[in-house]
Amino acid sequence: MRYVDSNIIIHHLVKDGCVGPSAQKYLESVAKGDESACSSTYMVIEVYAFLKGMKYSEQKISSILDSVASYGIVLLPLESEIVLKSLPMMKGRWRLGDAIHYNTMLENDITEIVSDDRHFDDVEKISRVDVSTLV
Amino acid sequence: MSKVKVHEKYLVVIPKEVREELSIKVGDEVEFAVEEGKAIIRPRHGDVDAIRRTHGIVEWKGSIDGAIDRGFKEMGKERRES
Repeated sequence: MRYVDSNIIIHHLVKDGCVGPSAQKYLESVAKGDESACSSTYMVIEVYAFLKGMKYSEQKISSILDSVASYGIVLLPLESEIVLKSLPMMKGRWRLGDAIHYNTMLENDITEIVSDDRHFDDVEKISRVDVSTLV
Repeated sequence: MSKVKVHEKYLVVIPKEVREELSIKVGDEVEFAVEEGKAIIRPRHGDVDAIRRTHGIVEWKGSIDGAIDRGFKEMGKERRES
């Protein structure tokens, strides 16, 4: 099972001629059961924040998130230990969201993250997978 | 049509041709439903139509991380104003 970063979901939602089409094909393979994928519940919060930044109405955001919830991605719980491990990492080069994704992966023994974020390239214990290589 | 036996605790084995046709693997979830006197079993994966429906529905060019940060600020601003 691979971990899916929020940016893959957002690239799919956005009219983006670059990563978007690969993200869509990959997500379809997850929905069909050809690939197994999981993410943190925090992914939903990041997608919510992204849509909030677009000034969308709560109704529209809710409708999009309902769809995202039906993609077939297993959502892993955001446990307090994960947050407590992630907060100190913000003193370094980590964004809170990235640290939460990283610690959720470690907590669940997941070693591959499908992400467009190259910050994950030089991180111990995990490797980044470019979504275009999966479709 | 395949025939299988119902074992103790109502366990049944999904016939090979059915699980291959539906790509059902060990560890997958399946849904049961009763429709017009028939039991329907279907793999519980994702909704491909929802993915196709939502592809490209947001107009945005720029940094995704920046947009997420802006959204969090917006949420904080709303909370302060409420």
